[in-house]
Amino acid sequence: MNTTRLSVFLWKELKEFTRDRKALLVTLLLPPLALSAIGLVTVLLLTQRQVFISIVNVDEESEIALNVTSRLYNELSKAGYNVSETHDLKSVLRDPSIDLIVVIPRGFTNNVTSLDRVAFIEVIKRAGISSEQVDVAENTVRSIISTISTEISELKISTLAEKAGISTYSVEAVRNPVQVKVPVYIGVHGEPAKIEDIWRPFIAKLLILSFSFVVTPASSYVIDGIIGERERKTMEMLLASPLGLTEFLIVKVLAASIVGLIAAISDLMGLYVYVAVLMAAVGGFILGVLEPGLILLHAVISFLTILTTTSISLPFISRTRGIKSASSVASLISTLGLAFFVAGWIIDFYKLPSTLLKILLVVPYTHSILAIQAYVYRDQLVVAGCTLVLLVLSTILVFISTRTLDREKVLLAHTYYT
Amino acid sequence: MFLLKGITVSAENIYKEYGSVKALRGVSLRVYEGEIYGLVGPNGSGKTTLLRIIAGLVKPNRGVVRVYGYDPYEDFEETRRYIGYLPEDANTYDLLTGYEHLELYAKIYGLGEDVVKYGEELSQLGSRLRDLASTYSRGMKRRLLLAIVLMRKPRVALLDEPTSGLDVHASVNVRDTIKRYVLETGATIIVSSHNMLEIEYLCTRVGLIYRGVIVDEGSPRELIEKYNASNLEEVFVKAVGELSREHY
Repeated sequence: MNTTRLSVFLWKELKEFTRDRKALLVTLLLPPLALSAIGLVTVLLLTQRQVFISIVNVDEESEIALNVTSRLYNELSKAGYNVSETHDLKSVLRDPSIDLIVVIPRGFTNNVTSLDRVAFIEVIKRAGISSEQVDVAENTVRSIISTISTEISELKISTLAEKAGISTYSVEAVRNPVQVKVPVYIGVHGEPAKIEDIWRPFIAKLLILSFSFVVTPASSYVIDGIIGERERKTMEMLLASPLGLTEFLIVKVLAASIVGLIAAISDLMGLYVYVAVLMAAVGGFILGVLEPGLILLHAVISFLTILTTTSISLPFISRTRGIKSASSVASLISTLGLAFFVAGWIIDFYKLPSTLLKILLVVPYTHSILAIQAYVYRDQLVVAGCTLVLLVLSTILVFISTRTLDREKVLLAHTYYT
Repeated sequence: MFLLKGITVSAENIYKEYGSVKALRGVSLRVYEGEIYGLVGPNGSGKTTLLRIIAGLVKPNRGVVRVYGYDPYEDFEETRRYIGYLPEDANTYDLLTGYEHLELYAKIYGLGEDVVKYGEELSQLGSRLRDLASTYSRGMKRRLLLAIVLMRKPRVALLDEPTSGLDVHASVNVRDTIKRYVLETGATIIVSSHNMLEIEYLCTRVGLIYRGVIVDEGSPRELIEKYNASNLEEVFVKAVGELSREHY
């Protein structure tokens, strides 16, 4: 193998890529632009979706019930909900536009003023598509009721304390004597966690999910590189040159992986912006917690994941006659990758039982997921091991591919001219 | 490994099958230094397969091929310095300029600027070499590809249908380039074509190939006299006719 020839041909491949305006647009600009736009549109649609709440006061005669109703009405309206007030529960139940019904039942006042009964407020939710927003509305209702409940407790406890002649007391100590403190986050080694430590697992999940965006285009780049070259009739002269088949295939895989890496970074940026926009809409933020080490690892693992994908698909793609059949083969491999990376978003592979993990490690994509997840746990040994496995595996696969193929198979692929 | 004096390319009893299709059925030929050898035959007669075998891209099922004493398939690396190959439908890269094509191939062969300069001269594309190849006509592309093959002065140039699909002016230009190249370098050229008149004009010796067999061989003049014909087309029809009577 001649490194000068490899670099000359690789340079040519990358030069062509940089001159292909459409490819550049699709690979570099489209993912961040499209995903930011999708994020903004999603936020816009979320804000447009209104939640309708109806407060049904069945205990209508009571002043306390009226006060609770009016308090709920005012605070929910202030929070931006579409609130209505009624006494007719039946009609509200039949009205499909109402998402959440808050019922102040008959006897509420009696119960709320007694010392041996609890007054319940019923919350009825209608099953629907965007239940998350109704859940948020329900939480708001619960929060308002909790405040009202605390205020009533304070009144009851202070009256009782006065009657009992107790001067030193705390309402909270009587109401809720045992409580769980706000959770304290710690790092892998027991040190207090910083904001980055809390966000790192989420960012890692995002990075794993972004791998699913790169496996499909990676195969497409190799398909275009090999079958495209054959169909555009530029391959034969190259194969007849000293470049030969091995160098030709290695450069094709490398070029596809480099372009894939660029696409992966671009996709990640898009995904990051998308999540940031969504989080900003609900008052959160993730900007500023990007860790250079994790991003660098992601770039390396992306490159190796693409390299492995292209190496697996290479022997099949090179033997197929046309782009259609090659795409079918590539999509099978991509689907496998997609399934794994979506699983990596949900499942903590690092904490799977070792017997199960050993089986999964047969699939190269497990190493990609594990490398990122191990980084979160600061397990540098596993990170290095997985990276090394991907590197060695892709090298072996490329080697096998180039050894099992010959010039005739790649050039003719079951077609020939006499 | 053997080396016959004066013989640059030899093929002995070459067979090639693609599944049930017999592309070559015992082809033998010898081509000498400084010769322009023409392979003449209709589409599907085995010209491209034979050239691919000589170029080392396809392995014959049977038979021996030698280029300057080397097996072009097994001794692939070694034979690259001798062989230049222009495939029939070869195309250029749309997003590279003509000059970049010359530069790319010169570097792949490990050659320098002087070779690129010669390539520029051979292509006769002048300032258009700085334009992207996507803006070239078919004739310009063919001239560029021919220049890529010939610029490093290979001792054996295999040209598969070099003027196929070109207009009259472009065809004449390509033929002149080939003739001039042989005069300048003394190299061996094997050119395939189904254009008999072109072969008659270009070649010192001709092999008539039909259904994977070389039916007859000789200089155009010898063949015309032998078959008592007025041109190579007539020669081919008569030669193939005799073969048909013998074998079918």
